[in-house]
Amino acid sequence: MYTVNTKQHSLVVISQADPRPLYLQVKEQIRHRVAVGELKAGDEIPSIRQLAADIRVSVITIKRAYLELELEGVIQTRQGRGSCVAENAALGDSLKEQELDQHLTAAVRAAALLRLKEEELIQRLRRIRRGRTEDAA
Amino acid sequence: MNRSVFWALVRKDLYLQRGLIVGMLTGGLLGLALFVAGSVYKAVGGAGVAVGGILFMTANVAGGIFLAMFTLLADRKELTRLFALSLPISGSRYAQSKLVGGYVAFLIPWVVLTVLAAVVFLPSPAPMRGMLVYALLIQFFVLALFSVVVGALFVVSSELASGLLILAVNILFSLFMVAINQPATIAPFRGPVIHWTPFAVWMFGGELLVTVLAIFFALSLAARRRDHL
Amino acid sequence: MRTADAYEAFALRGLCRSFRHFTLRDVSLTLPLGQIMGLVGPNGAGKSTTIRLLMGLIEPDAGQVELLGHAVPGDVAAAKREVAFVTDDMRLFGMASIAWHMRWMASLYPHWDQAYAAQLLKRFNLRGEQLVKGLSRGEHVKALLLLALARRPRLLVLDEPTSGLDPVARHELLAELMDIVRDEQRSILFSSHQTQDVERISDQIAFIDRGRVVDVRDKESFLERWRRLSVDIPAGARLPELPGVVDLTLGERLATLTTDRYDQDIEGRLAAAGAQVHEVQRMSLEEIFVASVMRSRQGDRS
Repeated sequence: MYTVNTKQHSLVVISQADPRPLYLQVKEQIRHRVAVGELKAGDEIPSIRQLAADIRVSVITIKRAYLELELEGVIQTRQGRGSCVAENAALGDSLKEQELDQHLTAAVRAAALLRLKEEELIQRLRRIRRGRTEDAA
Repeated sequence: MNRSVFWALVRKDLYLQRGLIVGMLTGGLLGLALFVAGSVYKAVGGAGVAVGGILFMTANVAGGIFLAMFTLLADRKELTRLFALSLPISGSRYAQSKLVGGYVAFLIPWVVLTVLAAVVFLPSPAPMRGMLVYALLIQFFVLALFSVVVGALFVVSSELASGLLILAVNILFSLFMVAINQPATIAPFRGPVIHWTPFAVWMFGGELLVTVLAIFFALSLAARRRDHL
Repeated sequence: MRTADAYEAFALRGLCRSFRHFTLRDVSLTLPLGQIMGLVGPNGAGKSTTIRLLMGLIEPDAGQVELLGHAVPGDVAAAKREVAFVTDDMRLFGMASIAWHMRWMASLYPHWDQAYAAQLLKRFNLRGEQLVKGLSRGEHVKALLLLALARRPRLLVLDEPTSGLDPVARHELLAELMDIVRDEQRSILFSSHQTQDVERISDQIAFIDRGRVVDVRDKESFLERWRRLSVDIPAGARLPELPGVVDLTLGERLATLTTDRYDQDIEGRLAAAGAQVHEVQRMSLEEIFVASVMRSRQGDRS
């Protein structure tokens, strides 16, 4: 049996066993929390150094993650006042769209390695979609 | 800050060597007591004088050797040197603190024993008052030996070197005892008059000179060292 | 006296020092305040020598050393007031207790934080009345680290801090180290064989091998520039000249290419030459380090 921990969930949980680089894990976890609404527009997030110390990851990595998140419009940093989630109502959706684009890009790449033509790729996509709908039903 | 770390290290050395300091003092006091008992009480007699004398001298010489070695070498052997050098103190001040620590640790019992050894011959009527000079010559010879050992340990620190130093000290002390106990040499002291013979003056001067030179030698080495490890 | 108002955690410039069997050549490393530098290198590479030169324990034949803005060795005592230095071959005074050491430190360092020290005592599972000579290797290291951390140093210099520590203690130490850089004025230099730890918490990384700094840059640059590519080379195709190729292993049809100057361009150029990139792998810090050292040693030989 395990005990359920209802304390404040750590903003980010990273793993060095994960093949993705650390800065990417940090980014994606923050984006996911915004996407599902656990972090709302205007919510404060820890400063770079605070988060670095909290999850024991170098400051430079957190800096990179925050910088890219800011460029992507997910968060904003105000001089001397820390960082917070950006004020953007459609954020959740646009993040999900960005994630979808990432997955599709990976699919296109994989298809290229298999030397699939565009039509073959689309067929595979349809087949998978159909399989999922049948499972759901 | 350099100063307070300096004295903190000296106090630390004294604290760690407290056993040896007490041991040297106890051995010396016991020796003196036996010596006096042997001189005063016929029952104890010559044996008391001899054993007491030997115990007294052994306590001094051994105390000197061990205190010198443990104060100067223990840090290096036990790698506490690195810890001491991580403190806010320069390498040369650290070396000086070892010197001062070693001397203070030795001088505490040595001064007590030297004063007592001289005083033992003073109360009147004192048929052997002249032996005061004899006692002082021995004590200051031990001091000179101590200084030489400390100076040597600033240069060498191997087990072999330590062993050779102990050997050298024993040989030198034995030779000294032979020399000072020559009938012609010791005769002037065996009397009620305090007599500074030419031998005594030269010997005493030599002991002081060696001590001072050894201290200067060690201090200059401490200042000029490039590597403090 | 500090040499300037703006200073770095430390600055080593052109350090050279020769011993009978080993020479340290032209070592230059600087670390801005608030950052963590990891030092990686094989045994005997010169990491400990570099650290000892930094702390003024030995003097260089040439070059300058500055520690928190103070010149070393001239002003080293003042610098060491704010530096905590721990190595794995350092020993506390065996006949004294941990509590004695804590009181001693408190009397020597004005910034000693007794409350924090008590916390660490609990966290590291130590007791004040334990005599140092009775401590296990791991406990001794933890005691050293406790004494170093509780004096709230502005620079922490650690030589193999995690050697002898079990994984739990290592995990706790990393947490304490990262706690230090919550303050942007505090910095850490540590050398370690645990490349995973170095990879995780360092901002800057320096590789040292055979007395020289082989490479030094910020961590993200290291991890972004190095890649291992698996390439299919069909018959008749030839690999183009590529910059930064550190290693190339050729099979009949497959080649494995290690490069320290990866960009998207490389894949394009390979494709143009008829080669097909089958896989692009990121490299762990350990893999990067080994490849870096191999290249540097080959360079020495030629």
